[in-house]
Amino acid sequence: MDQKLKTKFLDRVKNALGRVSDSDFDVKKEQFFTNPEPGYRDAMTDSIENAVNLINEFEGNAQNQGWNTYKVSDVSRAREVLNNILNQIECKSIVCTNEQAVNLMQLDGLLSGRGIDICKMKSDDQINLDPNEKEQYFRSVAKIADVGITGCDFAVAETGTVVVIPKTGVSRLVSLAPPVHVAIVFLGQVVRSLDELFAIRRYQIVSGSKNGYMNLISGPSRSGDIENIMIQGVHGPGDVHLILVEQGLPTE
Amino acid sequence: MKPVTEKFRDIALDTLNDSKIQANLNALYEGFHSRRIAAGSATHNWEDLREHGRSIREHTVENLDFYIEILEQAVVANGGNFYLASDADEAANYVVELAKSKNVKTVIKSKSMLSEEMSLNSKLEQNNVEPIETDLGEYIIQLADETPFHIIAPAMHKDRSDVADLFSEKLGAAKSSDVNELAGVARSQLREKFFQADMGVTGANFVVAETGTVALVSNEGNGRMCTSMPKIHVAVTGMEKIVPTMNELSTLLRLLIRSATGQWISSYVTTINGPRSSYDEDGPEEFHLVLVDNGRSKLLSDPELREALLCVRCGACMNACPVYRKVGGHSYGWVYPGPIGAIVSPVLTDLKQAKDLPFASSLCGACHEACPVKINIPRMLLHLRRKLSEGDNDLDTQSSSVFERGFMKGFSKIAGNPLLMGFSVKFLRVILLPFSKNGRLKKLPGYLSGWTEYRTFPIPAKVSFRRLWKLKNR
Repeated sequence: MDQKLKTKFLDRVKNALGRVSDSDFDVKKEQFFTNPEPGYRDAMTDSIENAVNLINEFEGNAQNQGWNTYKVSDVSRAREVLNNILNQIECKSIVCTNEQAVNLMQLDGLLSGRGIDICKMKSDDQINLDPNEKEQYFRSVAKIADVGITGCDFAVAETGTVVVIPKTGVSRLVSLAPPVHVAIVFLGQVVRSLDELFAIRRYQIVSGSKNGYMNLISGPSRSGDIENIMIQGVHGPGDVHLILVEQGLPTE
Repeated sequence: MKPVTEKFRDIALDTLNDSKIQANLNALYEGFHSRRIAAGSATHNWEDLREHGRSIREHTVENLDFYIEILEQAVVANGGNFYLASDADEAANYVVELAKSKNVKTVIKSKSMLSEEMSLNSKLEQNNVEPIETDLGEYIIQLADETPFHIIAPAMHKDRSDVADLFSEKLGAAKSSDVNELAGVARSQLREKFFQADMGVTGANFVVAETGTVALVSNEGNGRMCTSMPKIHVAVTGMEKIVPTMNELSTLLRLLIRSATGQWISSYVTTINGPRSSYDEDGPEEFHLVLVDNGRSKLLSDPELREALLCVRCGACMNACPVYRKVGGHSYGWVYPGPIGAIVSPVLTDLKQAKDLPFASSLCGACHEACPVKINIPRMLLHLRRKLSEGDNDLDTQSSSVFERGFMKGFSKIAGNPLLMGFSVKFLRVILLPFSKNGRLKKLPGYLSGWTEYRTFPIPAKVSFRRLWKLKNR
């Protein structure tokens, strides 16, 4: 922005604060920003060491937030549960993310011969499109899809929150545009509270992570704007399901 | 938004006589207010959390100049645009010019009180850009061509039949008494807009200086839509909304959300770090953060009023306030109603026009108790009252009359002396007794008659409180 306008603005703030000199900028920078690494390490260690307790605590709070939860022992059981969820919904088309947690569900096999369209970022039918066309194509599919299926980056035990960080293969729309969202959480992904989540994210971003957009999703979309009566599914999904796998997410 | 703060008494009287709005206002107490208290008591160490939240806000406001510069560096490093707007017009011009230069036809908006300060909607319309509010309550308000009644629940003064009439009139929708169906009308209207809009404008509940992160709290998902679908995302917010690092977000989000709606956490919290990166599949290509002063530096420069900048805009003070719950949001005449509005609105607009606002409080302290960061609102209301009653040419006020000053001086002398006080009370009882019935006066004369317009006035009791206290403790 214009340097003059900026100086004018800052001078007004400085005057209001009664600053006489501003030579202490570097001192404050040194003093006010602590090293994010210890907080990150503690949070990650806690999440792994207490994984079983945390996933249990997470399940209870997620239910309070309005998630339908299903705890299963392994991936094959997770597929069965996903199959049941999709059976209960009149589902014609699905969008899903292209990430390990979702790929393990082997949706093509699960749904073969049932006449359900599955659209995944970067799947074969989009390979000859340029990036802009691909985005438009995916957007048009997400707009009419009945179900969106995602994994997650973290989950928060304190608040029953699923954390989705968009990245390559993970569109912002999958957990947002369809009326039904199914999220899959694996053992070891749950952190204790919002404190740990933001400590981790702070470290990741300060150390150069480029994925700065993050959604904390805690149950269905809701509104109480008419007569303070809670309704579900305004602009985001009104029907949300959570599959908890009591097994660590296998690395790709 | 053009302030109409001078009309406080007129609008308040209309609201008091509107039985429908009074019924809707009653629901505030049972709803937000009770749920806030429940959420607070369910939170581990809630009182410590409030203290911690307050210290974060104090630290940031005391070092605002420093954090604004840090924030700018971070936003620019993330590939975003950073703009400091001295007043609401400057901020609005920035957004309008940006929209014009990018050939924007429609703007989708997620609730932002700052954009109300800017009169952004009407300024966009004047330039042939269509603004669309996407929060359900704000959408209703926009269709009705009104201003928000409450900062969290903007359309709380309307019931379902009002909304049904409005949707039928403006959108041709079939009238329904089902709240879900009404929301469905808004959903389908707005869905197309989300997919077509060229620009999204949001507020920011907090802005993180270190990483240039905007944090947005929402329940409906419209905040996510506005930051995912259009090519351009503009966030506008007050300059005091900064926090140092992401570490502080956890405490402040808990305080804000649990105090605002009493929810344990809102359906969505979204953090945005700038435009999409090459690792993103979608999202806005352009990001702008507009930080606005618009009179906030006046609050900052007055040590008595600086505390008002700690506000996180949760609305708990209005839900707790016995005056707000009667006179409603429109009476306050500007963007921010209720107890905190009675401080912020006069200073940010013009105290001269808003002389009634600091007096629109019984000083009961419910707002102070409700505030998640313990802002001492009654103290600041008294400060503004003092400013007004000491007389000021700039404010076009005169100091209180010689009679009033003399009376108060005399009263303070008497009240400060137990013996004199006891004697005066007894004396007063003797004088008033012949005019009273069951220990109360029906009407006070002349200057004091306003007191008995809606209630009776008790005469001093036969046995004084001091005497009762003595007897009890004997």
